[in-house]
Amino acid sequence: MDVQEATAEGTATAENGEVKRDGRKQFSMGPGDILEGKLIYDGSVHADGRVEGEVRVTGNIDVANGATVKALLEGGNVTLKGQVEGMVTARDKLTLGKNARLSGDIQVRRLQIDDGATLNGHVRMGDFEHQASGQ
Amino acid sequence: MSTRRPASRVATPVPAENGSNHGERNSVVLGPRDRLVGQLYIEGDLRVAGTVEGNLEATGDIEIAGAGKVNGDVTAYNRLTVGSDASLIAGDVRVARLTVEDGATFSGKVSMGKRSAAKAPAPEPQLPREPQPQMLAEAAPRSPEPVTVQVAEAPAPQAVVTPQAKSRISVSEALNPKAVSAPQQKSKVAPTPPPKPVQQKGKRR
Repeated sequence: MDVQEATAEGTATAENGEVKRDGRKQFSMGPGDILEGKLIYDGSVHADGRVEGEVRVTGNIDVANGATVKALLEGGNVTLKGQVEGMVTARDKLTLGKNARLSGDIQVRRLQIDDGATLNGHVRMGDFEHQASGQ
Repeated sequence: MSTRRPASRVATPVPAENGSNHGERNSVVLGPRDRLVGQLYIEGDLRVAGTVEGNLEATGDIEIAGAGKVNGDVTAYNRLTVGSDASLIAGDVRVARLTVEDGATFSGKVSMGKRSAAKAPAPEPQLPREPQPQMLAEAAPRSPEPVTVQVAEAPAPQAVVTPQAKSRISVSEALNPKAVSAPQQKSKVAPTPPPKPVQQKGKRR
């Protein structure tokens, strides 16, 4: 993919990340923020605004209500409340909130879909081969 | 979650002639010790707490509850609920609304949103057509096209020849009631073997 590389390998703490109470980092976006590219992050990501590309984190991903995401997402717990287009991998649990709209294939260990959510795609569940390093 | 109650659903229109309970929605329950292998089409709601191997389709809601296990395609015109101990391993899942509780086993290709779930409920609610006169049933089997049947329906019942007239009725004759009512004089058709008691059912449009 030729999007501009915005790779942040655990170094984004200074500007973007806040250290949460439990000591884990969080990369937090606001509704007007835009991320294009590939983000690999040692911590959790709160995605809002617009995200395009690829996001792989060691922690959790949550996509806010109102966010627009066209990206590959991979995280531990993934919680979607906005609109997502792309493949989603949750090493633990994927939650689709009632306003979530996901179109893309998903691979999860656990899955929760709330009434009102929209899903179009293949669902694979269970333990899966680790493919952390992308291509 | 309040999704466990079997009879508290938002109404979807179910054809009135749907047999069983008038006005209320039909509801089918497969209990924990029940098992179905094959296909099931339900006009109404379906609740599965047992084991199903095969395809399910319901015009209302489908709930896979308790320790229910379904292995096959699932189409729910309204809502599909997969409970926390339940399992759905499907090829295709077509639903309007979907709820998957945490802990459920769920895999398959999910399609929702567009009315893909609500393709015409083809299965035969109106098979019993209006009864057709015996004569027609005898005359029809020879001619492949159903035109004869439709045209011959036009004349009033008395115009239909009595069963003694064993000649076949051609399309042109059928168009002309007189020809039909007086086959003895004008029949161009050679006498044919006695009518077979064949009655065509189905297949006719």
